[in-house]
Formats: sequence, structure tokens, C-alpha cells
Amino acid sequence: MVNGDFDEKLEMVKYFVNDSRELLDDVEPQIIAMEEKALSSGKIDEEILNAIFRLFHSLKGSASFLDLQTIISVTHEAETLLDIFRKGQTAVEPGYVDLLIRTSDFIRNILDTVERQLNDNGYESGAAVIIEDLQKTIAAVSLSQGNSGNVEAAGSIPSEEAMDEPADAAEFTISGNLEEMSLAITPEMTQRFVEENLELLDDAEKTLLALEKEPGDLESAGQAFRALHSFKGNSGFLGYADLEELSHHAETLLDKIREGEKVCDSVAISFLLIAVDALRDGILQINQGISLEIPGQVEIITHLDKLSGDTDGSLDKGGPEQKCQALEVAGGFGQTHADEIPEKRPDQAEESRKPLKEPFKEENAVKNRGEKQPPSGQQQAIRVDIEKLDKLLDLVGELVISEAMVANNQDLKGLQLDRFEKAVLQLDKITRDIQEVAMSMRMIPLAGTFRKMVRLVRDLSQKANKKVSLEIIGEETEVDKTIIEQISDPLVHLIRNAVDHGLESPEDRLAVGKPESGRVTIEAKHSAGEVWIIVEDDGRGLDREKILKKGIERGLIKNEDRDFKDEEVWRLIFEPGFSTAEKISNISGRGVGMDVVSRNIEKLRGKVDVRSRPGIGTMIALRIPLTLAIIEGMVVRVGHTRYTIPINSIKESLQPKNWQITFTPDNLEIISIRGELLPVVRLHELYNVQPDCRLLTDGILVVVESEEKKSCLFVDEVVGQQQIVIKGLSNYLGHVRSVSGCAILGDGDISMILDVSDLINSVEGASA
Amino acid sequence: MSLKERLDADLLNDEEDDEDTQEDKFLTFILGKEEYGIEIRFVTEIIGIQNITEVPDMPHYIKGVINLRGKVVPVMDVRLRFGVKERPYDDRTCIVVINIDDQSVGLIVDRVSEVLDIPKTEIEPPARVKKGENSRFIQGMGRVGEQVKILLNAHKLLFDEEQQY
Repeated sequence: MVNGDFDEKLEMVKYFVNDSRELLDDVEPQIIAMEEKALSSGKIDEEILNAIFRLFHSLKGSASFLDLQTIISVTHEAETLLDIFRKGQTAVEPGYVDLLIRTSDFIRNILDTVERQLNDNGYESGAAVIIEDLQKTIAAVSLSQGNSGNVEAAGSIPSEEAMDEPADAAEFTISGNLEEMSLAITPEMTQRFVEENLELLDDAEKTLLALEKEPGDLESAGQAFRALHSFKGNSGFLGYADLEELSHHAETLLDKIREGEKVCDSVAISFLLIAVDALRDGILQINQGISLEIPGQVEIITHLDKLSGDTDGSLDKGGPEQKCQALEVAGGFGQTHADEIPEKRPDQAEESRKPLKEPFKEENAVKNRGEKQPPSGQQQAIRVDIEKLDKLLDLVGELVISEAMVANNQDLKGLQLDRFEKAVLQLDKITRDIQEVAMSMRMIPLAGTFRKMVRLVRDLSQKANKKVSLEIIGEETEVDKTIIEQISDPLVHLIRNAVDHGLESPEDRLAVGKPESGRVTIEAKHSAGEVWIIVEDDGRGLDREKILKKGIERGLIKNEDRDFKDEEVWRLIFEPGFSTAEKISNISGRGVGMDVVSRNIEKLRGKVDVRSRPGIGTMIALRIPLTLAIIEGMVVRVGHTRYTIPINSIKESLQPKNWQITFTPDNLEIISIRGELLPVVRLHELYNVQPDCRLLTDGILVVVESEEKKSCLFVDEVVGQQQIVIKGLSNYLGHVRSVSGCAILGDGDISMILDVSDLINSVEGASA
Repeated sequence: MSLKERLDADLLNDEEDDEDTQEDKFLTFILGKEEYGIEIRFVTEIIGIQNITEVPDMPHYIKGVINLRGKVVPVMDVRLRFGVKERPYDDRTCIVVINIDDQSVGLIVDRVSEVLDIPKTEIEPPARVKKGENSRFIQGMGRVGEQVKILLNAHKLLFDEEQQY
């Protein structure tokens, strides 16, 4: 049904795929939650069921808009199954849940294909299998309910004709009890609904105006039609029948125009614009929390219908899109048969309006409890291309560099410039503010990533035959987009480890007096410029002896007769290929996972903390700096070369006295600071440059710390602190020893950023 | 340095042009006594010598990195790459920035001379002489009137390391 040009279709498909993926992301945790509740209480939670139903339903709606038959037929069957659940008191068996999850996975696969080839061809056979399974389940469930009527209705509907049968959807909207449904509509959903629909209306208005200028432009008509159609779908989804109805009539008229059946004159455009305005009023009312009332709705509809040429609308015409309109309209009006709709429409609408007002109030109440009422008619969010945000961040980086170039300009050295300094201070403040805003624009809540773990835990617990309850804390914590991308894999590995290795089997747990069901917690929080993502389990803890033995076996750690610190032992598990598992299960044991964790976190310049106590559990904390591109750095000088040390790894700097210096027999220099003995790293020796000072007492020692190990870096001078924009050292050069990147200094020169943890480790390696 | 400005202008224009018009065009530069050429499609700009920050652990011909308007670009001393004796940089020393496979690298040369049209018919394969492994950098010998320019294979110049040590 899409007759737009290729680009437009591409755009629409992109939106569709993205939206659908979001829907599926939402649906999965819900299915699992339903299963959990059903298992614990023996009853299906109706609210969750309705939520799942709605998600599948809107998936079907948008798929039918793009005429993706496979998705339509599969979602339809899933809906039917859910509908039976909703009616009956059937106990949910795990098999049903698996089936639903399989369905959602299947749709996800189709989406990947749709994204590539713009249609869902090639999945027919897979769909047939799933549909068959769904229908079998439907039949089984209905039989067990003794509800033979449903079997006929559900089991016998071939998927293509399914769209003609509005019964399910109709019952969903009206007979499904509205009170409960509206409870599940969150203020966020309403907010998103309002934003999206205002956008759609703006879009429709724009294209209508374009259409007025060029009445022959069928493409514009199509675009306006699509905008209104999506609007209708959204409104129906949230149960705003008035909006749905009005937009339907406007849409019908536009469809006629689009098909060339109706001449597009200024009268038609005027009424369409009036309709759009009325719809916008409605949306604004929803936004303000006023109960929905569209002034002059009936008149507008009458005019629109008159213009459409027949009062029958387009419902008696064939074609897939009409069918689906019929379905959705029918959905709004109850169990009426599609062909009866036109006559009954006004009273039906009247009827349906009454019960619908109640839920609105409910919703407003929820909303008022929220923080602040957005000013009416103002858009709260806009979509921005991620490339633009990246570009903005790059530019902010350049700005920070230029700011430093101005402030530390060589030409100004030694001049008395009070007013200039003041201005620079102001500039500095603004630059930092801009930087902060630019960063915050790229921040996304971790919720999406965390929710995927719900599904993972469920699958894992089944595979490993363990009972696991997953707790998620702080999913609203926002982090940079790059972190989201990098954090997903490590999280998967950590959770796999927690479930597979960490948690004991139910029998073992009971034997040691723990609750049968294991607990895994994922927590996110902000802490001092870092975001902490913590995965914790209450399992058996890491086996220190086993790890140590394996580490010595593999030569990763020297077999010394001394007490190893816990951190030293735990670090071994991050070595590539390190595994203490005797046999490799299909979940984990190859020793790849933790390597991935440490690598990805390293990429984000983060750290991994491990705490574990035998019998009590393991906690792994990923500590990732909030800002990726810009850090505070301390610039130090060795001879002509300047190096930058990230400020958060510097403990202190000092000029050592003679008595603090000790030479070991290996000719290593050790500095004693407040009772601590720290090794000295001479940067000039490490990087082979000519220093000004060779005596430790002449230069400066910078004490740096990483992973709870300290070292002193010997430099000629500490130049100063500044904001550093991290730039990769060219790929052409490859990796440079103990250098994590480079920074452009105030005078335009380049300085290497030292990788402190690498430095400290290399010193250890050399001294061991 | 009017020549450099002119070249810069030329190159800027060339960037807009099709590949076709860049074909057969070589930027020539001087190293010691010889004149070398490099395909112009690789060249992004020519700048004067800059402050170079040394990078540890690099082959001796990689002098370090420069800041090219906020981009960090490694620079290679072509003299050292060819095993020719190093010479102090002066105000005619240039850095020819080339871009291959999305890698920007600066080539330090004694001085840049001109952009020449050398049609394929005027290019001969490198002489097959045994001595000197540096011949692997050579793509061909271009005849321009009486003179011969050594045309370099930019890709090998940057990435070929096999026989270096």
C-alpha cells in the first residue's frame, strides 16, 4: 500500500523497525513477569496480560501499515492466544510462555530482514510453523476451558483473512475492562504519545499546505494520509476513540484524494486543516490533563464525509489497507460488524466516549503526581540525528582546545592582564557548561540494556536448571551512548557467569541453608564522576585456591610462598582463556567472557572491581568514567617532551628528600612516603628522552595509583592542570607502550597521555 | 612561499574534480639530488615543517606526530625511510600529507617542486637491478622531457615493512 518513493519507504521502514524493536524489548520482560506471577500466584496477572496484548496489537497495526504479511499473521495468532488467556482462568504453563518468547524472537529476526530488504519475504515457512504451534496451543487451551466457540473462531482463521475478523481486537478495546487497561498506561507513554502525535500533526499540516499549492501532488496526499493513519493507530492504541474517529474520517477523505477519486480543492484542504487543528486541540487537552472534548467534532466529520463523496466511507471497498482500517475502526466501536459501522457510528461514538472519560481522569491523577506539568503546546523533546550529536561533541572538544590556546597563549606570558583574565575565566566557565550539556545530550538510561537481561536470566536459569530471581536497581541511571554500546556484552558475560558458575543448584543451596532460589542483582549508580554497574550474586563465591592453582599452572603468577592479595588472585580471571571450569557447558567455561569484560571496560577507560566471599557471593563492579572524550589532565615535562597524566589517577606530587630514597640490590629506587614504599619509574628512561634532572632530589615525583597499586613517576617539572581532549594516536602507529592516546595542549603541541595502569603493571613485570 | 600556496590552491580544486582528471598527475618533490613523484590523488595537503612530538618505540623513520588543525598526524622522514642521510630541516622542508585507506600520514621531504602530467606511455617499470631494497617503493620511472622522475608507490611507502629489518 505504500506508494511513496523508495527513500520515503526506507525512512518509514526504519522507523517501523526501530519502534517494533522497542516494542519487543518491552514485551519480553512482560512475558517473563507474567510467567513469574503466574507461577507464584497460580493466576495470570491481567494487567500484564493486557500490556502484552497491546504490544502485540500495535506491532500488528504498524506491520499492516507496511503490508508485512508474515508479521501480521504471526502477531495475530499470538493475540488470539493471549485473548483466550485473558478470558479464561487458564493457568499459564511454561510451554506457552516459551511459545510467546519464540514468537517475539521470530519477529525480531524478521525485523532484521525487513531492515535490509524492506520486506518480510522468506519467512513464510518459519511463520507457518509458529502459527501452527500457536494454533495448536490455542486449541488446547480453549478445549481445556471448554470454550468451543473460541476454538472455532481462533483455530479456523487463516492468517490472511484474519484481518477481516475484527472480533478479537474489538473485544480487546471495549470488552476488556477499561479501568484496568488505563492503569497500565503510564504517564511516560502518554507523554510519548503526545509528542509523537504532535509531530505527526505538524507533518500532516505541512503536507496539506503543500498539497493546497499543488493540488495534483498525490505524493503529498499520500504523506498526509500516512501521518494521519499513524495518528489514528496511536490514538486507538491508547484508547482515545474520539481522536481515532476524527482522524479516520480525515484519512478517508485523503485516501480518496490520493487515489485520485476526489479532486483536491481548497474546500477539502480547509476542512482537513480544521480536522488537524481539532485533533491537535485534543492532544493538547490530553497533555494538560483536561478530559478530552473535541469541539464541533460531529460537524467536522459530517463535512469530511460529504467531501469524501459517500457516507459509507471507504469501508466497503477491498484492498488490504481498507480492511485494516475497518479492523481498527471496528476496534474503536465495539462488536459491531464492519458493514454496520457507518450507520451506527455517531451513537456508538457517543457511547464509547462516556466510559473512556473515566480512565483519562485516572491518568491525569497519575500525571499530576509526577514532577511538573509541561507548558501546553510546547514540544518537550525532538529527535536529533546521532551524527549531529557526535559532531557537536567533536566541536566542543575543539572548543576546549582553542580555549586553552587562548588562555595560555605564549604571547601573553608575563603581562598584567586583569580584565583579560576575567574574560578568560568567564569563557572557561561557559566552555565547561557547553561541554556538560553536550555530554548530557548523549546520555541514555540503562533501562533498555538492563531489561534485555531479564530475558537472559530466564533462559539461563532454565538451561542451567537453577532458580534465579533477578533484581534490577537504578535502571534509570543515564550513561553516554558509547557506554551503552560497550556495556551490553560484558553484562551478558557477567550474568552468565553469575548464573552458571556463581549460583549453586537448588539442592546445594538448600543443603547450605540458603533459599532455594538464587538472587542476581544488577545495579547502576553514579558515583564521583563515574558510573558504577554492579552485578552481584549470592552464590558460592570465587574459588580462590582453584584460581590460584590454575594461575600458577599457566604461569600467570609466580609460585611464591607468600600470601597473595585477593585482588591479585581475582585479576587472574580476566586473563584471556582463563577458566577453572573442568568442563565447558553450553553457557560458559571457555574463559572468553571475562576477557571480553575487561577489554570492553578498558576501552571505556573504566575499571573492574571484584569482591567475593566464599559461600556468600560475588560482586563485580564495572566503574566507568562518565565522560569519555574530555578529562582533567596534569601536564608534566621531561626534557622537551610533555606527558599528560589523567588527574584521577594522581595521588600527590612531591620533591623527595634524600632520606626517602632507598636503593635495592637490583638498583631499583624505592621511595618511602609516610611508611609506604613505592617504586620509582623514571619516565626519561622509559621513553628514552633527555631529561633536565637526573637526581631524584632535583625533580618531581608524581605518585600515581591504579587498581590499588601505586608508583612514583619521576619528571622534571609539573607544568599544570588542564582539560584534555583525548585523541587516538594514529592507527598507523599502532599501540604505543603505556600510552593511551594523545592530547593537544594549549600551545598546539601534542602530548602523550600516559596509561597509568599499564605503566604500573609494566614496572611490576620488570621488577618481578 | 608562493609555490606552496599555488599548489595548495591547485590541490583544493582537484579535490572537487573527478578521479579522471587526477589520473596521470604526480606531485614531485626533491630528496637530495633526485626528484620523486607521488600520485596526486593521495595528497591532501602540503604544509611547512611543524613542531613534531616524538613517539616512543617507533621505527627511526617515524619522527613522531604533528597537530594538523586538531588532527593527530604521524610524520615519516622519507630520507630515513630510504636510508639516505638525515639532514636538518630548514624553511624549505615540507610535509606532504597523504591519505591512504583513511590513514593520514605526513611525508617529510627536502622541498616540493611541482605537479606534473606524466601519461602512462611515459612511465617505465622500475629497473630490475639487484642492489638496493629501496626499489620496492618504486612504482615506475617517469620521463618528462630529458629528465627522469622516480615515481613512488605510496602504499608500499607507508605500509611495506617486511624487508626493513
